[in-house]
Amino acid sequence: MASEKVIGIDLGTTNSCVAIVEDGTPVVIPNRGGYKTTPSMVAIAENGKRLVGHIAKRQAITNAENTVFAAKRLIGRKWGSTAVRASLDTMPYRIVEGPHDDVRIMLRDQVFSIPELSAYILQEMKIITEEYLGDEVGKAVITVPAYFNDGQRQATKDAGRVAGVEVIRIINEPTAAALAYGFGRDIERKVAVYDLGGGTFDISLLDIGNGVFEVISTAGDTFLGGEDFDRRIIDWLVQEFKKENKVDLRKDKMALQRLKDVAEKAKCELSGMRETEINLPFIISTGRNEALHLQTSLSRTQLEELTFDLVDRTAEICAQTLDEAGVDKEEIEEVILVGGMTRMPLIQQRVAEYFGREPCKGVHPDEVVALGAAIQGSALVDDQHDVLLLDVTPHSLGIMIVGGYFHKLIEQNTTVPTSMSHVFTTVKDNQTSVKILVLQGESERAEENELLGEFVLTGLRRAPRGEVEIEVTFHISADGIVSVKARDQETGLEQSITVTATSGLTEDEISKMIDANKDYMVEVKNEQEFDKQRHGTEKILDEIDSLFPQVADIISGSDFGQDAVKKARSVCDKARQAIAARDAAQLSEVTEALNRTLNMFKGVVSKTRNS
Amino acid sequence: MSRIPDPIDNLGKASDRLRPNPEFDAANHPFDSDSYFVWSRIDGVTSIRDIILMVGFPIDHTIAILNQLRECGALLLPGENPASVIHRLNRARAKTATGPRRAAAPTAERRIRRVTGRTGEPAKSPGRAPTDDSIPAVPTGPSKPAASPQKDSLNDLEPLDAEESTAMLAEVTLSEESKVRIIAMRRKLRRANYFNLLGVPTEVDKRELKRAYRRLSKAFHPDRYYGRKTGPFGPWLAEIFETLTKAFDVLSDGKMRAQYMIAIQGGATPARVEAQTQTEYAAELFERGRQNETSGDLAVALKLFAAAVRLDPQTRYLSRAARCALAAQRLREAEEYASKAAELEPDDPSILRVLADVYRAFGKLRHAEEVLVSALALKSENDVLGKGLRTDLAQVRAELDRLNR
Repeated sequence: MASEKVIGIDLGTTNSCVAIVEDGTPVVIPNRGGYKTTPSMVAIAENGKRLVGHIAKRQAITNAENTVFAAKRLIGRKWGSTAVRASLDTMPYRIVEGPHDDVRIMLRDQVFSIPELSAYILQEMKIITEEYLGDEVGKAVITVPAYFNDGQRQATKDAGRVAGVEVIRIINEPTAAALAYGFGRDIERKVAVYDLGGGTFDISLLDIGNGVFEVISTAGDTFLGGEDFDRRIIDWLVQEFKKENKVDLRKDKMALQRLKDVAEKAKCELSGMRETEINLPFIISTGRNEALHLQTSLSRTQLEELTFDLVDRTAEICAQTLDEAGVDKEEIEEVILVGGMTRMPLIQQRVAEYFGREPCKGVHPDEVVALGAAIQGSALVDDQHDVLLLDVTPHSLGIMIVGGYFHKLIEQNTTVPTSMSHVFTTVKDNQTSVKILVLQGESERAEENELLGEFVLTGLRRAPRGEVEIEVTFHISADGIVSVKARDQETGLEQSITVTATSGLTEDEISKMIDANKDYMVEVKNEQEFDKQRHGTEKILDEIDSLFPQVADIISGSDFGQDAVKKARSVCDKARQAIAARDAAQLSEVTEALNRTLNMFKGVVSKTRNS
Repeated sequence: MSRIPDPIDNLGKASDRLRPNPEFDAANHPFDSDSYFVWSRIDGVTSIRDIILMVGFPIDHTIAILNQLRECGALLLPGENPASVIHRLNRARAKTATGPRRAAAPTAERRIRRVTGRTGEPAKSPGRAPTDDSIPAVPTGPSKPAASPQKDSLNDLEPLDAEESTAMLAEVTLSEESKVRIIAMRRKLRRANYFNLLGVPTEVDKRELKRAYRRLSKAFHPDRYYGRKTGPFGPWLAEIFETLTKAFDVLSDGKMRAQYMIAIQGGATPARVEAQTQTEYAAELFERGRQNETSGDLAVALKLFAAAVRLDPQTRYLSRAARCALAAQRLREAEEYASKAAELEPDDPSILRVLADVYRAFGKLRHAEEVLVSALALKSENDVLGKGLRTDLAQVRAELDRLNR
């Protein structure tokens, strides 16, 4: 049996990419427009239609408040979180509070959850693949940033479910990049993955050899990315403009949006060119019936001066990560660059300087993550595959102990699967039950970490404190599922839970979303079919129309002829009515009669011509 | 699959147990990795049959390696003594008429290489690594009818214990070979030391150690059986992989490895392999402090924390000491620790929060407010902490309002 196809999806903040392993080779699948990446944008058009990808991006300026971008920043987040608060002010779409301390987005009076919106993008990637393969795909490996916590990972999985794909594994983006880099190459070396994306910076160290990819360490800064570079350009533009015109562009939202677009464009251009023109006519009106224009130029050197500290910061994080992992710079034999920002010459130069070697040029920064995801997918389902990924747990796990402290049982960056036990004792005399709070995070204080779940072990023997021993065991499976067991050493009494982080959606909500999405897709499909049918019918109607005067001339002399012409008219009218009413059933009903009429007309015309 | 012959040519009964020759010096015999692997399994306890099953190579490849190992004196059959083997070797050396010490090693080397060269071929058949769960079929080719693999493989493992028997009957989608290999490896977990488990000699270098770990990971990582129904074998795979990782971690860390060596050689736990560094001593003091704090002995805990901080003033110790002092109502100390921690790590909101708590305890609400505001201005991925900080700030401000009124 040929093994099942698993797609790899890089669900990015700004762009998404899909890949698959075909005949042992991973390939990126282009979308209908021929592009290998698709904007991670979803919009609801005026007619209520859902727009995804390039179509959504094209209408974003004219439909700003109903177009969602960068939803990844919000996925799996709590309503009160810093990231959400920041987005409330900066995003043109309406972010509202969800029922479970989560985040929703309001588009044309309809409320969408973030996993739902992400699902539409995932679904688009699924459709792209299905059209390419001519076959259905049901399974996917999706990548997430290394810092994503369990809630965010779970929300991404939920998005997959709504989109109708089974997410068989979630892997970290830098890890995926390393997989794509090392796949099919007989290498034995330590590599660093330097991933500077739109919003975050990640650095991962991996040890590759004999087809095994072992993650040693992963770290980064979740508030450092391409957008910070854009912001520096915007600040500079605003400042220069103020100097010249005494007008603050920041006060105008529309102007700010245009500045944002132009800053990003300039940044990208300066990766290839030494200087670029920035031109924004009619950027702001002065109110006296005259408008100001922004016209200036920015050189690569200037951009580098504006942003060198950001680049230095990434080098600092690299140094820190290597240090913490106990790896020497000299041990790193290859540096892989991932993310669009790494096209910037200053970054390539700084990375080369720091590591003392030129970064690897062999991988495509926009596609490598999706390729890696596809490789992992195929490695899981295909027995013949010679690739094994030894992943690590991204955050520490433990329980709350007396005094409100967090006792770590599994440290971050531990290879999974893994288990760890620790024996705790009672803290009060005659304590008969103990509550186990399962936490995730790095803070010493229990309350400053994410609470994953809790349970109570009861029926302990009455004894002075410190006498009753309870063994707590954590286990993380290969696919990252956490289970916790507490056991009374004396009685053997046991209590355990499997911890599932909450994505902000209930099971009920998810199944409703799945149904709604299915319904919507059926509708879309019906419409597409109707349009196809309509197209055919309209062609017949045109032909009949063109023959009508001729045929009427020939046959209307007889009663039979008049009758036939009348009948033909009524058939055509019926067809037109069906089209106007978008009634697929009536349209197919009338199509046969229409075809007969056309044949009859053709017959009449050709007979007359022959005679 | 083929059956393990019984008796085995030149080696004796399949149930016989081979011993490593204590006189044999592996350093003089540059084996290839397969031979090392096989040799490392020989422990005087495991039967030849179990060894053959455990290594996962084609049966006659393993037997050939065992024969070569025996010829170069690396192992002893039951009843053989090191002296007799050395005697036999000396005779062989005399025949080659070259210097005895030089001749032995190259001969062995050449022979071992020849063996792997020959049997390496079937193992290379498309996409099948030697440690693959689909153990390459009989190298003699398709002419030999495949005997009932179930019975044969099972026979090789007999006797099964109760747990293993239940597992063999469980409804799973694993091949018999896989089941047998998992059971054999699981048995090994109980008996073998880390070196044997990974199949490496005690003087193994980092590179070889890593290779051995990777080879075994590929065979036993649960992902290898992704999507299959593994029943009781699932947890066993996890257990095997976790132990392999543990073994690898210990052996690849110089210090832990030295301690482990002492532990397995002397049987006693090593008292102290080398002098403790200052930071290690600080860590120990801190750990003891934590234990005392947990059991409610705050005064003792604070003494230990103070000592730890003196030796190694890291923020983790400082902030913990500050919290403990706060709980013990020793505010002066708490402030000292907290401000020092905040000085060292001004960008950590969690540490600033400790300082704010101390100020609150002192009633210095303005200070607390200031610290909390700056903590909230810091970038942090920790949403829970952000929420906590905001709650604290709201409380402090409410308190200030109340006092102002």
